[in-house]
Amino acid sequence: MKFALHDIPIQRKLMTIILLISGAVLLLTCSAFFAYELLTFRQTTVRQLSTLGEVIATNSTAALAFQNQTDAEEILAAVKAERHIVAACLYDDAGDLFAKYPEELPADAFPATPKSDGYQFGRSYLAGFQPVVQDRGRRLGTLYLKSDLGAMYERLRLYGLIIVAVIILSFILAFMLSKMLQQQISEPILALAETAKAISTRGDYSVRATKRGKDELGLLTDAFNQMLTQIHQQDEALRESAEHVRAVLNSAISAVIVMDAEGKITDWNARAEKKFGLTHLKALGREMAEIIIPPRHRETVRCQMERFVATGEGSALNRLIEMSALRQDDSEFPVELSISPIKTGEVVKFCCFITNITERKKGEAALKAKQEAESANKAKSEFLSRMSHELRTPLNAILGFGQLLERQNPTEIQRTRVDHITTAGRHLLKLINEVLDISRIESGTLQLSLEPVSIAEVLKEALGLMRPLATQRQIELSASSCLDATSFVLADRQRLTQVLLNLIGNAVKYTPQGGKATVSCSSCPNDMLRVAIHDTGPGIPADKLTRLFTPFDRLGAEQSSVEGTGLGLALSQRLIEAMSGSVGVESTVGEGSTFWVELPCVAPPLPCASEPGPHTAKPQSTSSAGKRTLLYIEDNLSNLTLVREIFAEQPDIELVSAMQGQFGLDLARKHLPDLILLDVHLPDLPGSEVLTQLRRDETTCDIPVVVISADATARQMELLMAAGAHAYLTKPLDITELSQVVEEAIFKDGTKAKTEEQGEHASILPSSQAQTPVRSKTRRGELGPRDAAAKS
Amino acid sequence: MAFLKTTRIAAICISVAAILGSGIAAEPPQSKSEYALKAVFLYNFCRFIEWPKSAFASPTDPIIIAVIGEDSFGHLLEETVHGETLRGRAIQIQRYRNPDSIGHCHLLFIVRSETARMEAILAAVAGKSIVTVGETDAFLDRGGMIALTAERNRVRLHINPSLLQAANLDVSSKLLRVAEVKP
Repeated sequence: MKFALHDIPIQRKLMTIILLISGAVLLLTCSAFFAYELLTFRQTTVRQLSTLGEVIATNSTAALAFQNQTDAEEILAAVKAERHIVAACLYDDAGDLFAKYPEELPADAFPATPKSDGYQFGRSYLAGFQPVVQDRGRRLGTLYLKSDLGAMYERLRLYGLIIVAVIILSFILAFMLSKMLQQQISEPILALAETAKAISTRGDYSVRATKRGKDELGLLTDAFNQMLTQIHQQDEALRESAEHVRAVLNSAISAVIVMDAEGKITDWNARAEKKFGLTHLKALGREMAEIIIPPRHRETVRCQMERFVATGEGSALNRLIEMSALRQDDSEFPVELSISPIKTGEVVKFCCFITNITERKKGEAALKAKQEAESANKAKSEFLSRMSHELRTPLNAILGFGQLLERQNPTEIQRTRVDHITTAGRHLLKLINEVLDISRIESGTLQLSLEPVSIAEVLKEALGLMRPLATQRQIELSASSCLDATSFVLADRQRLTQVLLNLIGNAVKYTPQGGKATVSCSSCPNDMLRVAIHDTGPGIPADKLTRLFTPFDRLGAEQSSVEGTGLGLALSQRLIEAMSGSVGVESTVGEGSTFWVELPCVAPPLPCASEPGPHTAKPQSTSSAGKRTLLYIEDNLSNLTLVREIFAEQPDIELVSAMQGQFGLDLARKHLPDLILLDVHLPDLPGSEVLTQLRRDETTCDIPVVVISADATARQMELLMAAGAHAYLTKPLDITELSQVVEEAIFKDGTKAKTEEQGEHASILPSSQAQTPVRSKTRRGELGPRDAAAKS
Repeated sequence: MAFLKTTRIAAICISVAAILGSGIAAEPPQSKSEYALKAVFLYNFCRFIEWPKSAFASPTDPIIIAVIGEDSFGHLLEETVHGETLRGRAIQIQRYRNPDSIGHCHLLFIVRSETARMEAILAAVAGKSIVTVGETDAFLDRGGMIALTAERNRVRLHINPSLLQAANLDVSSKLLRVAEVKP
């Protein structure tokens, strides 16, 4: 019944329920009524019959007592009035039939003997026995009565018919009423169902169900409509969210692919479409590995995913993997791929991000190549630096002894020959220095000390140094304007001088005799100061201008008589650029060239107080009045010999030498010399250590130490000057310079005031790079300009 | 026990009646079966007749059935009433020889042989609440109350209710129904 009711329409369901209930109630009521009626009827019938029997029995006592059959039969015949009594009889006290009614009925139609008292219902009659007693005394006999129940059954049949009729009528009534009333319930539900069906079919959540009342169905309708609104809103939000997610996915630079647990694609963003040449619609539902993974990797990817689904582990998941991916045309390209499992509820999916790394791979290759090139370049620079250093040591001997020869009154021929030796040596030294500078710049180890520099002062110095050469070559060298003292640039003073010397030198060298070289200054708009050197030389063709600043490219001047290293301009450009400036050239063939330098302007520094005296003169109590002692600690024999010979000419100086650091220290303590010359590279102790020990020892702490080293790096110099060196001279030694430094240090008590000034110049030289020009100034005017080699 | 006995007696009576009814015995009724029936009738009279209270000394006083003359009951009468009670009273049998000996009793059966002394007997019980029962048709004419006459296989009842009423005795109408009533 329950299952049958489940699937039928609600209208019929309601009607069926109503009819079933009313039918059941009716049936129960009628059955109860019928049963009650039957019971009552039977009881009444029994009672009536026994009452009748009582009357007959009472009346027939005498007839039985006095054996009067006639009388008994008369009494029995009286039941004739009761139509339903079909038989009656009396038995005497012996149980024999005594009288019967109706008389014509044969005796065997009655029970032969009386049975127990009481009435019993038969099939269609009620029959029974009753005692006949007079005055509660002895039993006189028994009465038997038999009543036909036809009438009773007739009446019950009538009742049954009425009940059936009532039930049928009630059913019809219930049916009609239920048909009318069920609409009250079923119609709103059906309307609601219809609306829901329409919504689900069309997917239009803007439709609303019509409310028909305020009952529960009305509330249901309201709730339904409210639910629709919420679904509508959530739908919108969901769609927006999905669109947002899709937009985000599509805007990703990576290809984003989402797969289900079997590896089938469920999402495929715009970048994936582009990268793999497959549209979103075509990609969906296909296996990811099959589409984009090259066959040789497919099994790995599948296994990883299957393993994750089975065990929740996967070593290749959540990691960036570089591999090849497959395009639709079977071409492969390098990608970076990551597969991450995403779990939403119980559903496992995989999100795959794929980035094309072709460009990166190229970049990486290029970067590697660059790094290799840089490292090769650095090796080259280091090699050059080392070579330069190693080359200085033999040059020291060549130039040193050359200078010694010059001092020993040679003949004219000898002087010319010695001149050749020293000139060639100096040229070589310059070449080495420039190579060293270039390599330092390129390896990034060049150190500059930027400060406000007066351009006028520097130009004046440079012009002064160049003037002898200009005069020699009959070139008119002039400074046209702006050499006012207020123009300051931010530069390394020595380096700037070196550059200007180089440029002016070039102008002088490459201009034919009788030509002009003019230096001018001007302000540039972007707060720069320009120094231009104009000459009336042959000019440089436009096609060669670009090669002008390339190292060792002399643009064909190798063939000319003008000497140069081919490094000057290249070095100048790099130095100026290192000072945040720039170098340029303008040239017209046949008219001349203009080289210019631009440097950032700065405010002039505050005027300094006059420099304090470099020395607080201390009495050299230990030294004897006439003879001065000089200790030279040096392991290179040729250097030692050179210095020994230099000072052999001076009778007032006694040279003591040591070829090891420790021995040098011992000698210093023993002799307490007036000056110590110290080489940095010693076999047992480093020069710096010797210097430190000398300074620490009270007996030797006041002795000036001049460091002589082939190591011309600024750092090394600073280090040793800071450690207490009096001066720092680089190899190869300039004899004049050495002499001046020594004299200044030894005779600083004023006995040789004239040389002291010059000595100070040398002693404050902070860097070897600046040595050349300064040295040339102190010694020989033409040396600097000639050394400042340039291109032709 | 008493009931069983009665039943047995009744059964004998009925069987006798059945034999008589079948017409086998055309001769005068055998006194034994006739008297057995008469004994039952005497007892039954006590049921249908009520005596005044004055007839009894106490509520438990027995009803006394008396027989006068040479009766043919033998022990039948005693057997019939043995152990029976009516309205709380036992039933006793008494026998009298002559009218002078008639004492306290409630029902007096006058045997046929006493016809000659009828007047004396009736005079002896006159004015008392004693039911007089005779055996002849003429008994009522002579002043008796109830006559039991044997007619072939049956015993017939004749009754004079006015005499009973006069003797202050209450006769059930049912008894009157089954008897021939003499005015």
